Amino acid sequence: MSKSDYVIVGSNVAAVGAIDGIRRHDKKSSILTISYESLGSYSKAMLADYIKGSNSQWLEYRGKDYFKKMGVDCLFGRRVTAIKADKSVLTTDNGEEVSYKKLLLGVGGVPFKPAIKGAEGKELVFTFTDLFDAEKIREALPRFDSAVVIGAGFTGTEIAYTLNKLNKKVTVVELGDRVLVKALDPKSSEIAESLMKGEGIEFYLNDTVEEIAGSSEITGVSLKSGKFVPCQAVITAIGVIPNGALIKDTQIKFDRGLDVDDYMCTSVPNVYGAGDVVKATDITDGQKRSLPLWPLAFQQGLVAGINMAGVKYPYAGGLPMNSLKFLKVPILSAGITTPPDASYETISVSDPKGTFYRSLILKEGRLKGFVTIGEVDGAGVLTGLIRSKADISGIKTRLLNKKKIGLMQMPREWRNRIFTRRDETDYHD
Amino acid sequence: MKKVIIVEDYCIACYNCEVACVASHSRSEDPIKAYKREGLRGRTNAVVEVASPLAFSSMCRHCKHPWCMDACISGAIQRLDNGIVYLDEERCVGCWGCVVGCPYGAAHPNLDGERKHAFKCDLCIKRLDAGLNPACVEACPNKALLYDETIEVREEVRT
Repeated sequence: MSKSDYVIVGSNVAAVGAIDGIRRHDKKSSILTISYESLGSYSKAMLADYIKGSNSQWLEYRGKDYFKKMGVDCLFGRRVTAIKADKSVLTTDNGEEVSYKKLLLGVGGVPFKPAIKGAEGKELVFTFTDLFDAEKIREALPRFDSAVVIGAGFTGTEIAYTLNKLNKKVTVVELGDRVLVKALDPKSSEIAESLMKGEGIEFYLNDTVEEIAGSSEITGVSLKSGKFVPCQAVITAIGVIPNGALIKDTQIKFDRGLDVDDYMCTSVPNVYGAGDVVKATDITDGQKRSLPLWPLAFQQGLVAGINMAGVKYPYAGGLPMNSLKFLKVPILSAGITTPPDASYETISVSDPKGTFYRSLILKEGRLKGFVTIGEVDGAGVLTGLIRSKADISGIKTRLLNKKKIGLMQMPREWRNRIFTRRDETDYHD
Repeated sequence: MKKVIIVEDYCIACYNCEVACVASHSRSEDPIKAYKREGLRGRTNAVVEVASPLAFSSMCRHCKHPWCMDACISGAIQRLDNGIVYLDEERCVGCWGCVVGCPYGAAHPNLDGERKHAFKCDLCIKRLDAGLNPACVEACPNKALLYDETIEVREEVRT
């Protein structure tokens, strides 16, 4: 049996955050990362680049020497098959056992796959969440000219856009009444949809795929509305759900997501969680939910790592942030973008050409979320205002100014504190 | 760590910092060539904000915990051992995660060039290595920009 002080299951962004966190306070103890993926740490958010033909090395999130530099041992291409949390031991797929003092589960999410009639046994039905998926789609590219993408969230719209750029005819089918519902408000959804339509992507909203037609080769999909969309490939991109496969047979509490406390520790002491697998606190309403977002996975990993190294350090909660990277017109959002009830105030501005739109959501004078399209430089100032919970009633209209958002709009005292460089980035472990 | 201190009371909105920033980050190191031939117009890491009579030049604060780094999907933004938060423009894929993440608005999107990427202040890393001050600080005629220890170290800064 091999032994390691810290064992990290997973090797992506949450794992990298955790390694950074551990090494801030513990330079000596041994760390081992185990991942089923052979590439180690890579960017899942850049998989579309891989489909477009990038070298897989381009996806590397930290350089090849990162793990070595941090003094981390790696078991890549090896799957963890069981955890015995009572004995602090885990088993890998070649039957080896590894014991740990502290364990981090950064096992991510798995694609949510609805049961669709006719999906079984067809080659050109894909999901799009990891490098294996991207590789399969890339290899299959010469074999299809048209595709239906199920789901108009971030993953769905990005794969749709990518395939469209590769000269495939793409149709997106979405159950909801608009695109990117989690990240945008109705007006900005409409703008995003029309931008994508302008590129030649078709949308069927308020609809869903009921059956994939054809024998081994797909001939098309029939929709709930009765329509039939001819296509040769189908990609489901409805979202990811926390990956509980490894956890469900253990005493570690998992209920549609790994339960963690304020210190990212699970119900079992010495077992921590971070990233898409956990239910984390959403800063906008204090509720715990699955928030599969890149920056949050890094922050949670970092906080978990700091705590694993023995420094008590609470997680401040995650603020949902989104940026739509593939469109020609940039679209950014953070926090609550669609007001949940009448206690929220919405102020917005747009130009008639539809190239600029900004909307701010406030509650009791405090910024809770925003969307900005077209003019995005300085948008992070708004994100900072959400985090700081400052009363912005006095400056809110200035923030709708078409010009770039800047520190100019901030109260002088707040600005000068930053200018004299007191570091207020919350992490003072 | 030493950073650039901004003293807004002293800023006269002369834009010398912007010119110096562009020049020092250009191939030619010549402001005119940088603006006219290298397409660096509007690409300064130090940005003068003006609402007369108020003016100041703002740039990356090189945070101890950079929010921009959390949001960077490609690993282009990393905090170096010397504390500088560095954005490698070659590795940047233009996802604008840093733009939405930076509470100081100091990571900027470059939307016009051949390749989309973000850019931000690197504290003139090459100049520091050569024992010089950041170009914006050097160019400021009114000491509205200082290169000095942080308030945590100095206890007090007069503004």
